[in-house]
Amino acid sequence: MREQGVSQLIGKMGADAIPVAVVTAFFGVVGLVLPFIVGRGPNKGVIQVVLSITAASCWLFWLLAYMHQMNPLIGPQLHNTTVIALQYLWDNNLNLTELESTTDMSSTMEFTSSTMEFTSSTPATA
Amino acid sequence: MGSIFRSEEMALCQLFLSSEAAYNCVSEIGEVGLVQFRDLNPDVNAFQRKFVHEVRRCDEMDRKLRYLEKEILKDKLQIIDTGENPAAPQPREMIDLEATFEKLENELREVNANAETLKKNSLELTELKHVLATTQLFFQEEAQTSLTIEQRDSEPNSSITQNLLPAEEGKGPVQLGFVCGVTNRERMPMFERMLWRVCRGNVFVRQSEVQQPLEDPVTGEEVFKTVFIIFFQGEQLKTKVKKICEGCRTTMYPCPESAQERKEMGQGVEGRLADLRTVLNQTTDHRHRVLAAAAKHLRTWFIKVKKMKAIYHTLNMLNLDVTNKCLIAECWIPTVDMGSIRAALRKGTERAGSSVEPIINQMHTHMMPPTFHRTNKFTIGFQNLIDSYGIATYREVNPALYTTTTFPFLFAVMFGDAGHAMIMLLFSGWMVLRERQLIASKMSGEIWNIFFSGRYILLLMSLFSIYTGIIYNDIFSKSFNIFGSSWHIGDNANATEANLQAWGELTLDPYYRDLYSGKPYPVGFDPIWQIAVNKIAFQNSYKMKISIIIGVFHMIFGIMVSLANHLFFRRYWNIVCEFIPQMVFLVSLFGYLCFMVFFKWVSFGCGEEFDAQHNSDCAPSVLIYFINMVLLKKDEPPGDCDAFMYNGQFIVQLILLVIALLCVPILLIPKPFIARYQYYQRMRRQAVSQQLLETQGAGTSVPVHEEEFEFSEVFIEQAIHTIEFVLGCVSHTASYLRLWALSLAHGQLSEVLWNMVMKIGLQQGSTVGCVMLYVIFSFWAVLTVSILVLMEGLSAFLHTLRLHWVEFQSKFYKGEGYAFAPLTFKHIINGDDEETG
Repeated sequence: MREQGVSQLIGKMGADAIPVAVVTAFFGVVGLVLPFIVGRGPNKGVIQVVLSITAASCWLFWLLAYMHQMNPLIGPQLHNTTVIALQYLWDNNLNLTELESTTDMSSTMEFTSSTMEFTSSTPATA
Repeated sequence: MGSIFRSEEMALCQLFLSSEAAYNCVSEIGEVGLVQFRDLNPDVNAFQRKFVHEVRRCDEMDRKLRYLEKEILKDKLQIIDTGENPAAPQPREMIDLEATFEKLENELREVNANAETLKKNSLELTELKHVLATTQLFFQEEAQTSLTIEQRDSEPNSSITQNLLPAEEGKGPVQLGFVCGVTNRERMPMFERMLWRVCRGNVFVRQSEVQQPLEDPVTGEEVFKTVFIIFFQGEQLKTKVKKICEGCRTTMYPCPESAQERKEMGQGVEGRLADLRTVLNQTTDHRHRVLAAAAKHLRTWFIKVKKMKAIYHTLNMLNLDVTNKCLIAECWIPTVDMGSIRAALRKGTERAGSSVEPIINQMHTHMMPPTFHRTNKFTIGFQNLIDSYGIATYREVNPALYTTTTFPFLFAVMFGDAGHAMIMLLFSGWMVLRERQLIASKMSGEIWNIFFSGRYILLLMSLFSIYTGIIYNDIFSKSFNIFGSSWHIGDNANATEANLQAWGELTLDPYYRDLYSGKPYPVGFDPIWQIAVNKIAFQNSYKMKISIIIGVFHMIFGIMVSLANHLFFRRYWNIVCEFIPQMVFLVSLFGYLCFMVFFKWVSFGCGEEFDAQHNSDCAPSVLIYFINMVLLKKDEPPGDCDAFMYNGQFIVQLILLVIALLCVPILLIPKPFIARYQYYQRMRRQAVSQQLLETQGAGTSVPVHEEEFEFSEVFIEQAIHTIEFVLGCVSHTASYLRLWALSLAHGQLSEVLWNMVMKIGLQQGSTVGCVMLYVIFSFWAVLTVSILVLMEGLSAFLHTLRLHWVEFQSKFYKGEGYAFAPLTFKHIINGDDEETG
């Protein structure tokens, strides 16, 4: 019963294995491996402490940002010009000439797709 | 790790130094610089100490050297810094040094006095020269204007004074007297007015300005002067005029009446001036030579004298034993350096040629030793931050070690902007890389010194800020889309211009996988948030949560460090009555709060895998849960949502709350009783040992002085500590929210600056726009550096400092020690002005 619950929870996590593994491994090396191969010297201890605390805090900081975005409860609310810019620059699915042609027949356009949600202002809920 | 983790172990030692070797031994110890001498004659006043005479002589030499330095600087000569470290001179060399300095000083003073009189003479002569030249001019003018009168006159070559007024028949020529002299130009109007009033307008003043400035022999300043000549009639007026001249501090010069005499006098003055100039040149040459020779040795002399003074100062703190043959010193020495101190003492004895070996005797004491952290150039900055709060108690865990990393990290959480951090990195990196040259160049200025001594702190802060800036995805308030955003606009059919115009804004719903990919942005924030309208809502919820989580981790870490202290000082009872309940209290309340944050992140979301109870509509507020947990309340959930995040949450919370509350009496009650028990135990043991000694007849032992045990006082103190901790947990956790507030403020400020300034420049089109962009960029850049980097950096720094001093250190740090202040010659060699004692 409990095992099922845990696996269900893990299944729900919107995490991607690769970035988690890479970042964790990177800071693992910095915080756990490097301190053991620091050369001898009067400052060995200081270097070890600096390395491990750095790795721990930086990893935690990355993790918090990652987990906060893992299961987003709200989506970004974008300005109309931003939307066009994003379509053109990031998604590459906007043809500028096409856009111009659609403006003429915009009055006949119908809103059929249910995947979109147009709102003038959405109250943000955290 | 050495003494940066815990302060160095110290031993109180007694040194017996033979009186002939004492000076050399102390000198060698000063070179090592690891011994702090205790003043053994605190009630003897400074004038009655043994070596006060020597100290005075050193002071006198110091004064002479400073005089020399002043003179050298006046001549703009370079004081040569060879960087060598001369040993402190032997006491017998003091006389030689004194003689040298005396000779130099006398010579200089003599030369200066000579030069001054010469200059004075030369000034007078120059003035006289001017007087003669100008009076000549006056007389010539007068001669021309009164030409007609002169023609009438019977005597052709008579002086002008007689010609000024037509000579009346029968009476002799009217005797007009005159006085000439020189005065400062600015004093002239006052002087003239005075003359006019006192003499009722019966004098005639002519004046002429001397064109080139003359040098004042005393101050060396250049002054402008005016030559004047006053004509008057009669003896009475003459005395009046002379008195006024004296009163107005003018210099009067004799001026012969006839032109011939004036000419002769002028020639004589010229000749004497030329002679004077040669003599003056020779004098300055001589002075220059003397000073140049002195400048070569000045630094070495300074070091020698200062070392000597420091040694005699130290010797004054020592005790003389009854036989007068040896000096007794008490001093604190780090136990690991015992060997090098012994070696230094041996060397000192050899140098003094004494056969009596000095003796080091370790003493047992109840005094608290000084705190000595051996720092390097990296840790010293952080150590200073901690020390300005309070010097660590002897052998207590030193927070500076952890501060080296946690400090830059917490700073970076508030300062998170990779662009601003790059500017900081450039500056601090330059200081670190050019360290040697910068130290050698000896730049002064208080602000520069602050920055330079904190260069490693700045470096680490900037590196961490670059990292947090990358995580916040914030570079000058802009984002990078390196890994490809997880959010997409989706089907482009809807994003037509008309639709967008109609609706204004578009919200992407994370429920749909063609809008949100389901995999978060791998490192840091998704760049889409930077351009989203609801960026602040999203970031605030994030930044508040991480502030609390980072804060709770930081405080837990602080309590963990207190465990290290308890174990080291063998206060095992404190582990049970302090460490464990504190930890349990913090974790069961605020640790649980963090747990809830994580749990919410994992178990609530949008998408098909989340059921109706776990979607965004049912997502609870963690803070409300936490408040309800303490108030034992239960909110009615909206719609068909669950009242709790998981089954049995209410019971778990109740148990945690009870555990936390149980920790309070454990913190409060047992410790005073244990303290009382331990006190009576100690008393009993002492009494027994006293008895034993008495029965053995070994005389009286020195009883250890201990304060009377007052139970009520101890109990009240414990109550205060408990309340402080419990309330502190709440307020400190809230205090970490400043991490959120400052990072929000920083991000917003930089965004506003971009939108209000830089954006205007970028929106210009034409060629004029290019020029405007140039101007606007410089404005933006200046504001960025001055406000966002400097001021925001300073405020983030201060808040970080507070988080360390108050929130972190209150968990384990006492800071009741005093700093180790050894006798050392290091600052003398470095040429710092601050002296010990």
